[in-house]
Amino acid sequence: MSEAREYQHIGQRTIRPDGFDKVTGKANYGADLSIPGMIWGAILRSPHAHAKITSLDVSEAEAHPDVFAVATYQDFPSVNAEAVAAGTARKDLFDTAANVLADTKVLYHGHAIAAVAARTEAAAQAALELIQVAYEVLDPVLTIDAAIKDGAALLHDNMMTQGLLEPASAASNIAARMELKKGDIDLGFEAADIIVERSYETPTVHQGYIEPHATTVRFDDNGPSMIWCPTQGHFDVRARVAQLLNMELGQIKVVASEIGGGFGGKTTVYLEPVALILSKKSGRPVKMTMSREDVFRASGPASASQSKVKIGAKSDGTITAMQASLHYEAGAFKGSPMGPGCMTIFTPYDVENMYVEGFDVVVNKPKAAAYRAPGAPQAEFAAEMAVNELASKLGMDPIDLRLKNAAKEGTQTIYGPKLKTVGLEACLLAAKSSPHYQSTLQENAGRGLAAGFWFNIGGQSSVMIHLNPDGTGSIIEGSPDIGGSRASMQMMAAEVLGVSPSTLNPIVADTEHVAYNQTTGGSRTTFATGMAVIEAAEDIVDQLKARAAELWNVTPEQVDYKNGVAYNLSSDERLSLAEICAKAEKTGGQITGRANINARGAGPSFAVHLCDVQVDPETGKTDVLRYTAIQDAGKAIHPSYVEGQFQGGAVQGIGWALNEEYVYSADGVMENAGFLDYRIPLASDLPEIETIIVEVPNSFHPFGVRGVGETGIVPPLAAVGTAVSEAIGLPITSLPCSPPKLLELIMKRG
Amino acid sequence: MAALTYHAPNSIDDAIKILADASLPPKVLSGGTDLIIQMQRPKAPESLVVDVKKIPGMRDAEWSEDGLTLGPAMSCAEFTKRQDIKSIFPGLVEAAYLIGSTQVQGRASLGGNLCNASPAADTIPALIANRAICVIQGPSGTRVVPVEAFVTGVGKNCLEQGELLAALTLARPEPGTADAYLRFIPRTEMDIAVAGAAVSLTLDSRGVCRNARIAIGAVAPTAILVPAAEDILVGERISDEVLAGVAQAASDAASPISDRRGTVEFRRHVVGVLTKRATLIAAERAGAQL
Amino acid sequence: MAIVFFSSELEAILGCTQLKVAALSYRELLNELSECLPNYLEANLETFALVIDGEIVQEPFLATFEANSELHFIQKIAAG
Repeated sequence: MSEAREYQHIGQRTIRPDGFDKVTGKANYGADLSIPGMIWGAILRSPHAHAKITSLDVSEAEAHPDVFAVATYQDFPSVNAEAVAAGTARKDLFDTAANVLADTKVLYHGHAIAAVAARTEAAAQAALELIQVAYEVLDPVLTIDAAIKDGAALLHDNMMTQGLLEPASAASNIAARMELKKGDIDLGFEAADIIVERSYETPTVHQGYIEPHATTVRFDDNGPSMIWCPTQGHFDVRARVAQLLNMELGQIKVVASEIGGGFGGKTTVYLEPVALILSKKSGRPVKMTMSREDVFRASGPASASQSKVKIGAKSDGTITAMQASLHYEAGAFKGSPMGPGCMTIFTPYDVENMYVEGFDVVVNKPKAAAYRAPGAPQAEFAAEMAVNELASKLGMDPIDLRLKNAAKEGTQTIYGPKLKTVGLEACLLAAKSSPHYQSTLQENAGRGLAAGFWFNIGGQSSVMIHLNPDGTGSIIEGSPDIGGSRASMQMMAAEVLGVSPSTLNPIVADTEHVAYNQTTGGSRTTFATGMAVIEAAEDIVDQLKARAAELWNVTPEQVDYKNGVAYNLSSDERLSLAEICAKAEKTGGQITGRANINARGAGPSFAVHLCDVQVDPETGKTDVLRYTAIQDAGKAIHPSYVEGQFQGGAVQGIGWALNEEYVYSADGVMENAGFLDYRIPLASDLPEIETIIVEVPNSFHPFGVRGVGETGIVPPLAAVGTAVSEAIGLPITSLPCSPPKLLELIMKRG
Repeated sequence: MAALTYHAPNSIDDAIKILADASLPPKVLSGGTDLIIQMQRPKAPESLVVDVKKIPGMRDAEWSEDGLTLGPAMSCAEFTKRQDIKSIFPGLVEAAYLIGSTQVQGRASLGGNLCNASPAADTIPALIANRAICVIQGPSGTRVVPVEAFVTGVGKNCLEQGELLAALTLARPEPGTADAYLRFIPRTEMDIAVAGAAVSLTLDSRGVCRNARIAIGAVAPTAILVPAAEDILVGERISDEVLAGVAQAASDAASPISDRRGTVEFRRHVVGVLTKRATLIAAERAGAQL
Repeated sequence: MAIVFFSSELEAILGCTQLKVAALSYRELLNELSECLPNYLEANLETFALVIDGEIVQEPFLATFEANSELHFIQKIAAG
C-alpha cells in the first residue's frame, strides 16, 4: 500500500453493532445461560500455598442426596505420558489438567482440588465441606529470590532447566533459560563513554477483566456436547477440553458468549473441562461461576519480574551496548512470557551490540496467563527507565536520544529478523510536536516518556458472508469480539462491497458454524480476521459481477463493480448489489462469499507515551496530571475503537505502575483478593487520556492495518515511573509506586 | 446467603420488642451496605433482620434550638445534599460524602456507619469532633452516650440486646466554630480510609483558638481523640509551628497496624499530615486570616 | 543462495549461527537442514516460525522465498 486511499467507511466512527444490547442489558454473558434441569458446580480450593495431598476422600460428598457428581484429577482419562510422547497430546496438557484440578500437590493458595455438582449453588458449596483432604504442608516459595536460592523447596521434583548450555544435572525451580545476542556486547561497552546500570522489579498483577469466569455445559452422548463460556478463543477451549477428556473435536460445540474483558486472561481453560466432567458424570447440564475472589486467587495473573539492565553510550548519545538479565515468575507451572520479554526489551533501539538472557521461574502463585503484550511491559519498563536515566545523565532530551537510536526499516532485531517499515520515528516526532510535550510542567510535577513495542501476529481466520435476497447480509466470523472487532469487520466488508456497514450483521459463530479460527489475541483480529473478511467480500464481488453478467448476457469481464453498483461496460446498464441479490434465484441461487486464510504479514506497532504526575511529598500519593498515548495503527479502521485501545492500555499500565499488586502473607495467601484492595485506577483517578493515532501503513494488509490492542500497555510503566522519579528526584526501581513506598523513599531522602 | 427472618416495624417500641425477644442473632438493617455483605459471606449464620427505615424520624434530620437531631437511618445521599447541615457541619457532610460511591451513598447511613464500628469509618471521627451524642433506646428506657464511648472495639459497639440507636444529636456550635474531615486513600473514591482526621475548632475574633476537638481514624482499633493536639491549639493562633505540633501529636497518638492498606510508619506519618491539613481547613472555615 | 540464521538458543543445539542454503521453499529448507545438521531433530525446527526477509510467518509450511532471502527461525509468538 504505497499511496493514501480514499475510503467510504474505513476511518469513520460508526455506531457499534453490539452497543445497544450491552447498554440495555440484553447481551448474554458467561453466567447468563441457564438450561432446564441444570445443576450447579462448585470447587474446593487449597487453603495452602504449597502442600502434598496425602489423601483425598470424596465419598461422603458423593453420598450426599443433593450431590450428583464429584470430579477430581483422576477423571482426566487421556492425561498420560504415552499420549504426550505419541504427539497426540499437547505438551502442556499435564499442566493444564493439574492446574484445573490438582494432581498430587497443591501449588498455590486457591488451587482447585475437587469439584462437586449439586441441586443448588448453596448445596454445592455446602457439599465441599464433606470432602476430606489431608496435606503435608511444604514451605511456600513466593519470590524469584526464594525460588532460585540454593536449597529452595522445589515445586516440581523433576523439573530440569531447559535451555542451559550444559544440560541441567539437578531439578530446579527455573523452568527455562533463554539467551539472545547480537554483535559483541563486551566491545559495545568498551566503546561507551557512559554506562547506566540498574535493577528493577515489577509485581504480580491481574488483567482485571470485569466479568469473572463462568460456564454452562451440557454433556451429550448422542451429539455434540455444548460448552457456553466467555473466552477469547472458543476453538482453543474446544481443543483443550477435547484433549483433556479424550473426545473428538466434533463431539464438542463451544459457544463464545459475550465477553466482559479478557486482555489475554481468557485464552485458557479453568472451569470448562471440570464442568464437562461433572455434566458427564451426572447426566445433567452444569453451571459453574467464579467469584471475584476466585478470579484473583486462581486465574492467570501476569508475571512478577526482576530485571537487570546495563546500557552503554557515547557522549553524543549513540548507544553502543544494551544488556539485560530478566527473571519472570511463571506461577505454579512453567510458561511465563519470558521469551517475548527477551525479544521485545530492546526492539525500539537500533544498536549494534545486545545481549539478553531470560529465566522462567516457578513460584507458589497461580499459573501466569497472557496479559496484553505478555512479557513486554515488565522488560521494556526496565529498559525505558534506564534509557531515560541515560538521557538525563547525558543532558539529552529523551526524545532526541531515542530518535538518535530509533529502530527503523532494516534494523536488525535481537531475535533475528530485520524490521520492515515501522512507525517508531513517526511516533517520536508526533510526541515531540504534541501539545502535551510542548506544554510547561506544573510545579512539583515530573514528566516521563517511554516507547513500547509489540510484534502482533496473523494466523488462521475463517469467514463467510451471506447475502439476503434484499441485499442485506451477515458476516459469520469466529473471532470473539473483545475490543470492537465486529464494528471493524462490518466496516471492512462494507468498504469492499460498497454498501452501508449497518446492512451487514456481524456474528461470532460457535465452533460448529464456522471453520477454525485462532484465538483473539496477539492483536490479530482486526488484522487477520479483517483480511479474511476482505477476501470473503472480494469473493462476493466476483460473484456479483458474474451474476450481473448473467442478467445482462455478457461476460464477467464486461462488468465493473464500484460503490455497491455493477456497471455493464458495454452499455449504460447498472444494477445495485440489492438488485442483483433480488434476482439471485434466477442466476443460480443465493450468494455466499468465503475465505479461509492463514494470514501473514502482521505489522508490528510501536508506541510512545507521555505522562505528567505530581507527588504529594507528605503522603507519597501520585496524581496523574496529563497523559498522552501516541501509537502507530497502520490504518485506523474505526478511530474511536483504536483510541479506546490506546486509552485502555494506558490505564491498565498506569494501574500497574501506581497501585496494583498482589499482596501476600508470609504463608502465601493473597491478602487483597478483591477490587477494594487490589486497586485498579478509577475514572476519577485519571485525566482524559489524550491520543494521537499515527498511521504508517502495513504493506501486507489491503487497508494497511496493524494490530493495536497490545502495544499500548507497554510504555506506561516507564512513562509513569520516570515521571514519578522526576517529581520526587529519586530513582524508581520498583513498581508499584504506591504511596507507602514513595513516602518511605521521600523520608529517607529527607 | 443463609436464611433470615425479616421485620420492618413502624415504631421504636416495636423494634425494641423484636430485638429484645429475638431468638436468632438480631441485625439492625438501615442501608445494608455493610450488613448485607456480611450476611452473604460463606458460613454467615441464620439471622433476624430488623429494618428500621419505616420508623418515623429514623430518616429525618431536624433542627431545634439546641441543635440537630439526626435520624440514624438517613441515607448519606439525603444527608449530604442538606445545605442547612453543610453550612454548620461541613466536615461531617464531607465525611459522609466519602463513603463508598454515589450508588452506595443512596443506601448507606451515618447510623449504620457508626454501628458497624469499623476502625476506618469516615463519619465516626467527624461525629466525635463535633461532640455528637448517641440516643439509645431499649427495654429499660433511654440513655445517652457520647459517640467516642459508643464504639468499644473493632466492629463492636455498646448496644445491649434489645437496644437501638434511636437518634444522633449535635449541639449547635458556638460562633466561630467550624469543622473539617480528611482521609487518605491511594485513589480518589470507592476506597477505605488508610488514615483519617477530623477537626472542629472555635476561633475568637482575633483568630485565637478557644476550643478544639480532634479525632483520628483508621490508626487504632477505634477512632480516638487526640487531647495533646487540642492542648497545642487552644490559646494559639494557627501557625506553621502550631500545625507541626498538632501533626506530631496526632502521629504520636496513633497506634496503627500494618496491613494490605498501609504500614505502621505510613499511617502514623500520614495521620499527622491529615490532622495538620484538616486543622488548617477548619481554621479557614472558622474565619482565620491565614 | 538464501542465508538462514539461528538464534543463540538454536545455536547451542545446532552448533552454528548461520548457514547458506540452496532451498527456495520451507520444505526444501527443512530437507536440506536435516541432511547437514547432525542435531537437527533435537532442535525441533518445525515448531518454530520462520522469518522471511523480515516478515514473520507463523506457519511457514507452504512458504517460498528468494535465492537471496534472509531467513530466521524464531519462537512462535502467541499473545494476549
